[in-house]
Amino acid sequence: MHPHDDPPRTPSQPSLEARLIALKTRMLTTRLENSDRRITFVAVCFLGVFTIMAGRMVQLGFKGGLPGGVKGAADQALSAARPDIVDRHGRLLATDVRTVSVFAEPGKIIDKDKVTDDLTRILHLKHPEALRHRLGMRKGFVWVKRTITPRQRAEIFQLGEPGIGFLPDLKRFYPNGPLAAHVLGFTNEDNRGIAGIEKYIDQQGLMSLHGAGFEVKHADLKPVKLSIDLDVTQVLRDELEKGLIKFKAKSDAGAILDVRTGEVIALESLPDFDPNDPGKGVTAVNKNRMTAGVYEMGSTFKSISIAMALQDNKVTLGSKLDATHNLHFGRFTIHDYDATHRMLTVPEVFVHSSNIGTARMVLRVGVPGHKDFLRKMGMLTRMQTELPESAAPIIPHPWSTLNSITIAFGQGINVAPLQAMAAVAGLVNGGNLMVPTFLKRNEADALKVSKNVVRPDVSEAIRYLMRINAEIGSAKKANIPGFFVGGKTGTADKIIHGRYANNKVFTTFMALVPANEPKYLFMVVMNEPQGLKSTFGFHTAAWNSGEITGKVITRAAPMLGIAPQDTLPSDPFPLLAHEGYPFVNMPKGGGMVD
Amino acid sequence: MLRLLNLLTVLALLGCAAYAYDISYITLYDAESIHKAKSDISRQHHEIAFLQAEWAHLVRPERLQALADKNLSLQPLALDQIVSADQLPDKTHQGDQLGAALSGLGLTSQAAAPVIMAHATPPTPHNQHRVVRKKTRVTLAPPKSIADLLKMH
Repeated sequence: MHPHDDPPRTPSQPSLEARLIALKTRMLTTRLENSDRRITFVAVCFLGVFTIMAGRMVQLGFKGGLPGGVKGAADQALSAARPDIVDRHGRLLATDVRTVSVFAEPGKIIDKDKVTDDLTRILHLKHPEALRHRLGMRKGFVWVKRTITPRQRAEIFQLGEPGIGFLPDLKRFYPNGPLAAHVLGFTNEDNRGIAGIEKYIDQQGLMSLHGAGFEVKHADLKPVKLSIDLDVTQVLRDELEKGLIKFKAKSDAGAILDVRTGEVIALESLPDFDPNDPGKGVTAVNKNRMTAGVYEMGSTFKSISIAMALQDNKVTLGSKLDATHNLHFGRFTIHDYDATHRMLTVPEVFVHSSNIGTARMVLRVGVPGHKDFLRKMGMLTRMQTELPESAAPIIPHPWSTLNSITIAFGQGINVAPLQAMAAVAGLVNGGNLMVPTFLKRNEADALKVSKNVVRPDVSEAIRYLMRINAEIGSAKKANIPGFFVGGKTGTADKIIHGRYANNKVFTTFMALVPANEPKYLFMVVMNEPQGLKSTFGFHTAAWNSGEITGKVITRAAPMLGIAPQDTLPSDPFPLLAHEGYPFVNMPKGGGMVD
Repeated sequence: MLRLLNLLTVLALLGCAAYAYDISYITLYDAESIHKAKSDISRQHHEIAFLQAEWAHLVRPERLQALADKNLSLQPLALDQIVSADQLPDKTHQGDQLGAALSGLGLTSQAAAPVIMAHATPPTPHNQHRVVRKKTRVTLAPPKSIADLLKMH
């Protein structure tokens, strides 16, 4: 028998309890001479496990093009969410739409030429060599194409290429196409604003948030509410488009301004572009001519000259100005287009659009006074609205008396049409000049940012002058019955090679609705309209811009909440009547209801 | 005594562990369903946004104008189409138009209809609608069936 063998078990062995205790003792005690081997064994096991783990980590560390790396690159490249843009009634003008974009991981693609061919066929790519170049780059992530159709997605999926993947992406969508395109602007592929209000939104801090790594969700962004009225904009664009064709003009543009708040209700400039597919973007051909172009305003500028003379008390409504002869100044002679050869009162100067009469008024004020007033009216500096596209006025330098004489009737100074509108709006709304806005605002806020430029009676005088001009003067075409319209035409000869070209004109027309309590100012400008048989060959503003403005008023005024009245207002110009000009409240005949 | 206390402690511990385990899994499950719901909401939001964009595209003024020009004969609002309340002619009693329309279809009981007809002969739908057309040039088809009438009222 072996000495270490357990003693044979016999029924006389200890009880079950004693055996269990013995087992426990044996299991929980370790004899020192046996522990060495066990400890070594456990240590080897742990060493093995840790070696495997460390090796795996090194392997992962050396492996390039991790899934995480792709995700990071994709996050960088994905389009930023943008807020919706809505019109003044909450109708959608621009929104983000979720689409699918296709990307590639060049490292995972083996046959790059074949993949390029397949993708070119499916996606109808115009520049396959550019894609081949991108696939050849040592990058973990490259875009193949942004925004593909579900069908294209299915076809690419069928290729079964492991290095090609899809990502949900955002695309800016403009449901109304080219409508109000110049106001909205557009975005690039990465949903960053490039022009118009879109760029303005980015400048307000949206992109800096995105750049700092904050994930900006579409739902977190409040819609941007514009002052634009979508339906009225359509009316304006439609009439401008018809006018462009009818008068064979090179371009035309127009805007409607709320004179009480300075809100731009509609702004269009043709030719324009579709922001969904801006192509080359804004060029010299399709730029926003209301803010980013400067032109000679012609006779519409006379409102400003006359307001200045009235404000400085150099003339009153009853003053007579000598228009019997042409005005000679140095070697220059100032003519009247519609020469009367007699003494003219201030209203007659306006209605006959007398250059001589207006020039004489400005001469009474003098050059420094003239410059000061124009500066106060914001005519000498760039007008900065929300739209980034703006042009600085072209002003004469040095500014002589002759410059003042021509500027009196709108020649020799180029301003943006919207800038001229803002000035006239400031003159007629009681004398509160305000920078137009494309964002919705109320009258109280507008008054806070306005500055007083003329007295209330001067403001009323300008309204009266525009009203009689619509009744018996050049603005008859826009005197739509029932709306008590006031208006002023302007025709400027275009300067070609430094000389005024008589056959090429830039026409402007401004209309005020209604003239007694002005609410809206309409403006239409046309670049090189042609004389037609129906206009008896005339290409002056009354025949083209005036006619378009009249049509816009007819259609847009009811939309703007102005009901046509079948009676004329009984006391439209109370201040003037009180000052001793009772004739202002007597209709001249042109505006009578049919 | 101590043994019993130990046993109870062990049991309590087991119970706690089971409970914590259960809670942990319920939480995990709930978190997952919340996540699912969130992604569902986000997807629905995107779908709503897409539908809104599509709707805005369909009712864009340019398209509506083209459709209106093609299918309606409405004219721009003109001054002669508007009169003030005091210029309106006195309202003549036109009787029960709905009743007349119903009787025209032979649907009313014979007791009620003749009384109304005797009181004031209502204009036939044809004449009536020609008057409307002259003013606003809206073409209205006279109601043809009871289903049309129910839709109208």
